[in-house]
Amino acid sequence: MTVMHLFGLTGVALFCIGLFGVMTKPHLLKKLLSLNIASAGVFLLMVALASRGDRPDPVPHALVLTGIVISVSATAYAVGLAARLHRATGMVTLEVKPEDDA
Amino acid sequence: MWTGQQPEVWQVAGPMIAAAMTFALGSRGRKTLVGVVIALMGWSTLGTIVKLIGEGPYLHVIGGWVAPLGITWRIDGLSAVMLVLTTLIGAGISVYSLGYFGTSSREQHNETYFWPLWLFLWGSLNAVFLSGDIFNWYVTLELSGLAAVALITLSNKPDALTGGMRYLIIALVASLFYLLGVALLYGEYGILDLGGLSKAIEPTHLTMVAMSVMTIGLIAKAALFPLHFWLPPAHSNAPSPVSAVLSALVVKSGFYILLRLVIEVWPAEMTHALAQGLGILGGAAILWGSFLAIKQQRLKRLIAYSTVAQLGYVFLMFPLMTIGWDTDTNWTSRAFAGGIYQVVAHALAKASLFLAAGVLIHARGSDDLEGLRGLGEKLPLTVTAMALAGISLMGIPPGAGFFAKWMLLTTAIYSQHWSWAAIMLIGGLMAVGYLFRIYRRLLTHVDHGTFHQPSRIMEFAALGLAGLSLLFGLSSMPLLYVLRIGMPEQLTNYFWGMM
Amino acid sequence: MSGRSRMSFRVIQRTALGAGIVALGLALGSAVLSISPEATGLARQVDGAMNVSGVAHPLTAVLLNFRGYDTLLEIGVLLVAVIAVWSLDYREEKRFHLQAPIHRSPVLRVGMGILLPVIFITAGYMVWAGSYRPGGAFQSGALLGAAGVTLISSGMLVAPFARGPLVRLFLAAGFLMFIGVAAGTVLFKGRLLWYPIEYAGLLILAIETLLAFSIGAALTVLFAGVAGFFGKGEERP
Repeated sequence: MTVMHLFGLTGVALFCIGLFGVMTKPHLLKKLLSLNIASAGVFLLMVALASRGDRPDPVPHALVLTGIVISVSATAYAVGLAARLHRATGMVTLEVKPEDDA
Repeated sequence: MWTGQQPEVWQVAGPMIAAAMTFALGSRGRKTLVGVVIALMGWSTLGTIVKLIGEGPYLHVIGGWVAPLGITWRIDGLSAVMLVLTTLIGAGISVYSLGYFGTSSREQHNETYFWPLWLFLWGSLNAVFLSGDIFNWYVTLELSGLAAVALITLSNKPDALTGGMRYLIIALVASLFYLLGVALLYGEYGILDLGGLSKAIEPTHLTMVAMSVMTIGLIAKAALFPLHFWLPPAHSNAPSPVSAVLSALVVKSGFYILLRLVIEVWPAEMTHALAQGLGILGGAAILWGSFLAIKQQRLKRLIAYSTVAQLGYVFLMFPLMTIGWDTDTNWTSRAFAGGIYQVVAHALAKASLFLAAGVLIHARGSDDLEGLRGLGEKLPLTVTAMALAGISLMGIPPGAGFFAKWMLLTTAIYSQHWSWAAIMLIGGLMAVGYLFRIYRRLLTHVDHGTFHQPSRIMEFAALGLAGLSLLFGLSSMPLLYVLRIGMPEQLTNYFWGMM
Repeated sequence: MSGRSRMSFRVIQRTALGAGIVALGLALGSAVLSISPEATGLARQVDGAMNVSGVAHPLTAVLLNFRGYDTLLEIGVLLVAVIAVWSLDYREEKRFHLQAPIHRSPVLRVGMGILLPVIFITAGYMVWAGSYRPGGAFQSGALLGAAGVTLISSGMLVAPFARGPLVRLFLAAGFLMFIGVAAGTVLFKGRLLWYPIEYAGLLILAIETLLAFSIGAALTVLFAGVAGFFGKGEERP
């Protein structure tokens, strides 16, 4: 086990913690925070992979930068949507109505 | 003309430039812009296919950086068929949308944001179908996912906001699962390009884990049972042209990537188990989706559950394809043709059905099934569109859905996989069941309730797509001829015999 | 179902979910452990192509040249997010007003007067530095975005005309320029984003400069849109 593996495992752990949060926390902001923890985990894994060899590999760094901008954009819209939803319904959660019988 | 040599570029660049322009310019010159985009896409698709037929499958090496350093587009039969589909449906939805929005300030607001988002979505779907790079797929999926959710929430109604929010969270989690697999594959093989990866990949534990997480992410995007629960609220609460593109194309993008990975990347010894699993979920989707479609009381929700069921047929192609992979590739290629044809048939029919539903809702002001009574006399064109689309969905000849289901069914029967055959037949009967719940009410002669005359252009767009679903059923040769180009031999043996 | 049995059902559900995620984590963890500590990435290929990339820093070369198409689409994602946030319209809701507080303090005003020029110069330097050391359009855009956020929340940048045609053009400019260059390279070089070698450095710098402004503007607008800083349709109750 090397430092790369340690960081990689930490990334996996963060992903799992975030995933658990998304699935169990009813509050939308908590869901979004969990989602960001999970994506930070995936990014950490990618950066860890770049640290192998004598010099860092620039490709995963570029991928993570792209991923971060996407994550920022999606989070901004999601927070806006959550605020809009709160104004429209007074709710901060996604309640299940009897109609959603899937 | 120089541009004539790279017609595929405009599949992505055309709608996206138009999207940014219509965002910057507002309503000024919008109609012209939409007209130009439709013409450009028609020309570009035609040019791509002519080039494909003339030169065989080819790559567009973006930036001139050959893989593995750069990103490469792959143009072959499979991507060309998807481009034909996005062009036809994109044109239909664009024409329809020119007549869809009203003149109130709310509707004007919706229209202002509809066009840039829809054009971005169109371009990003083409980007998914052209790409041959596993990380680039992540970016295109996020682009199309974000645009799709924003289109759902356009009306700002509570149901749409809730449905959109749930879809957004699922889509983001699904993308992360996919990205995790990409990270693992890059860590092991150091390649993101599909071609390089398929040569380097080995059936290791890591490949297995990457395949599993990527598959989970992609079936959530493709709304395969049991990860379909987000689809009905999201698709049924969106504006009708948006419902059409979501059900027809957006869910297919996840499926497309999954199929590419199965055909080209995953080691053969792993795909058997994967294909069986996908088939079982597909079978369950057919039964469960059809069952819930029969129970619905609202028109668009019924159509949305029908999407869950029809997607199930698409996923049945995976186990049927593996039946004869090593022994008798006749089965494999039949199942492949049937599955792709089901994608095409469902996309055209479902887009038409949602567009027609939009006309009916516009006419009545509600999407309650009971409210549809008597509309058949007033809107004959729309009812014809619904009937033609229904023929394809139920799998009655000469609809395109008939050819698709026939290919899948005969594969199952000849190879003596009775359970798949039984599920497909039951699903077909159930489709008749839920669709006739719509037709019965439309064709009743009692008339009550309000009626607003919808724009004719909407009716023609719905009818046009329904007509296409019939046209592709009358002759399957042109599409299969294109599909064959550049695909592995196992997948095309059967159509060689037919040509 | 009684409250008690619903409670225990929830506990069982949570435990099952937790167990599933732990199993997933173990599978992923074992996959990570199986990755070789030797480098397998594309660093060598990147090195090999640096001399024809037009820039001297490998990260910028990957972002703007080798995988420039990813970056183009990513700017598209940012623009879509802006359009999406703007499509969330509040005019029909008079309940639940969430007007973000504006701090109009003289200290902030003077402080911003000193800070702003520094931020602009740093942002400009960031774009320039990106060609040979860490930096580039995103870092620069983030700085500009931070300036925008501070200006808005201190009430110095008024938001009523935040959706005017000029602002929209500014927001779309980065993406339009980038995709315009992409389309132009198709016409002249026959491939999407294939920069002519002699102009590669210049084109990348031009794209990065405009991108920095558009990214800064997009981040500012996203902040303003999400926090509810809008003039139109935003009467206080």
